[in-house]
Amino acid sequence: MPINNPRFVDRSWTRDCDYLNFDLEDSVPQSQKDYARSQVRHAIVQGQKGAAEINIRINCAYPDADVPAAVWPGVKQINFPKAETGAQIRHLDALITELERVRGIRSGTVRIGATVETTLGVANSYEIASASPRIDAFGGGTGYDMSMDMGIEMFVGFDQFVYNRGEGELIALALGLEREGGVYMSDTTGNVGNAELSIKRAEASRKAGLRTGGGLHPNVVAPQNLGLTPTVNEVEDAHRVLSFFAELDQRGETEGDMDGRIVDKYEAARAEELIEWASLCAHRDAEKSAAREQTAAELDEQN
Amino acid sequence: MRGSVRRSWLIVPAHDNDRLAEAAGSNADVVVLDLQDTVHDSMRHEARDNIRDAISDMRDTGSEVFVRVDIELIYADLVASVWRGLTGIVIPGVTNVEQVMDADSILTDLESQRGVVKPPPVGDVREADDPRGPEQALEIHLSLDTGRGNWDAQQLIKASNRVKSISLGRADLVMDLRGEPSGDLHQMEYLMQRLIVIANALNVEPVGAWWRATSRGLVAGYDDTLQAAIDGRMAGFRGGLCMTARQVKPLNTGYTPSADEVSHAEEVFTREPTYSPMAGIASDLIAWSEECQNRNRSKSIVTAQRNQ
Repeated sequence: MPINNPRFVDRSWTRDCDYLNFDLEDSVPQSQKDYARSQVRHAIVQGQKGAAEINIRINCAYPDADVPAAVWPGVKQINFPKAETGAQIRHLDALITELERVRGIRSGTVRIGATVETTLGVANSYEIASASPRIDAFGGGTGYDMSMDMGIEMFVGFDQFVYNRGEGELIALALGLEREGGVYMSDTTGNVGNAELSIKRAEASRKAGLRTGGGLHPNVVAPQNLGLTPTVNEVEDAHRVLSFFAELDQRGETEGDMDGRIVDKYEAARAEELIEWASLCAHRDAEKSAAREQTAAELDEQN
Repeated sequence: MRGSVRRSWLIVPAHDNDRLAEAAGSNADVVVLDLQDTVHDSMRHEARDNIRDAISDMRDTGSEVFVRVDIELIYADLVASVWRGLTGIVIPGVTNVEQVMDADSILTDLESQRGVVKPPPVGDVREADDPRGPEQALEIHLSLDTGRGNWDAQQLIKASNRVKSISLGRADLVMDLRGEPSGDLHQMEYLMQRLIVIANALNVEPVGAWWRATSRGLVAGYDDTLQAAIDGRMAGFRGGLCMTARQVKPLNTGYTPSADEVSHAEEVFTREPTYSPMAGIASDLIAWSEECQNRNRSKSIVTAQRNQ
């Protein structure tokens, strides 16, 4: 969300986002960059009214100007777009480290989200992802800038980023990081507010083991939250899998057939993880809901 | 790496006598006696105790024999496994070169102490006093089922001359890569192609099949297994792993060129100039088909000898 647009920023807390990525980069024209930097602290306050985590997307070309404007208490992550080298990330880490010290933020609080959007970045993905302990999630290069850099159309009806996605996710797995990205779904329209596609993609991504997603339009927030949250039926099923596996284990067996499905230690681990994830989602929803109610009540009082 | 016909690798829990008996009659090119995932902790000693006899039994039915070890228990598992008739070991969960070097070193000690060498291809005869060559070292198959293992595949392969084949193992399960709406397993296309490229670049055999999410890979039924094998062969694999004896036949069938394919290849080979890539591809297919037929014959001979 462009940080220089007060209409967007002031309503950001109502959106039910788990995180808000306030932008100093592509959505802000050059003439507005200074103004945008001056709006970061206001945006943090607005976003936190809905209990969203606050990310700030900076410009890869101006880290020395953007990072001091972006690192304030309440910021969870600095999103670094078009990452191309490990050296860029190490420089960013050093800037953040100094600002945490000066501004009284506990060391290591501010994470780095390195986004790969160029072919050089894809080629250097491992170096980028392993350049700082502040990086705890990583994914492959896709999207508008990646398409532009590769000289290809973005919405073509097939996955032209198979290699990038695979490379990014494999690196995340190799480094023990959270995998970012999504399951490819055919989209030839490029409609960023397509709620129907958004929920399908979120569900598919969750079922493929992914947990996060981003978007450019408020329409996709609710579908994404829904699609990335396990359903009640899935949670019940996961409990059945765990009970079934416990019985197997008791009998000294390693796998068994449960209603035509093979259940083994991997299925049991997935079931356990699903239950835990469902509980985290419920907790997060409650947290956001309580924050929004409190903010609404305060506004009523003021009026 | 070319030379062995290993279309079907049947994994069988080493403690389970019924499954062992089933494996002996399965016609698998390779039987993998398992000491890892399919063996409950409470059954490990029993499984290790079975290995020596099971190697001999499987070999007698014309299968090459590997043992899948638990990387955390590798010493005890190898001590239980390095006996006459063993062709190699499968190591899952590898994440660093030291693990491969450690396995190599234990194998070297046990080969020396027990006078064990890798047996000749099934059906071949080698005299006991033939000089021992490097090709008789027991093999290592790396089952690259972790993210780290896949990423570092090249270094892991180079860590030991014994590494002759690699697979993704149960990567979809260990790495938690699940099904997509398309029916493919998430990231499998990328991972399989990466594995095939690296294996060929380093002259080791890539083992695997083009499993779909809906057939849950290693326990798929006949038709799904056959299709996975056919697609796998087209993608560059020459054999795949399976968990049930009923999957052996579709794997052997799918990894063997069909009569139509051979006939088409013969036509191409006759028509195209010998230096053309098309003739080369056709020639490879014909040669592979003949190797598969030879493998089938050698199994029949060994089985017939046993039954006499």
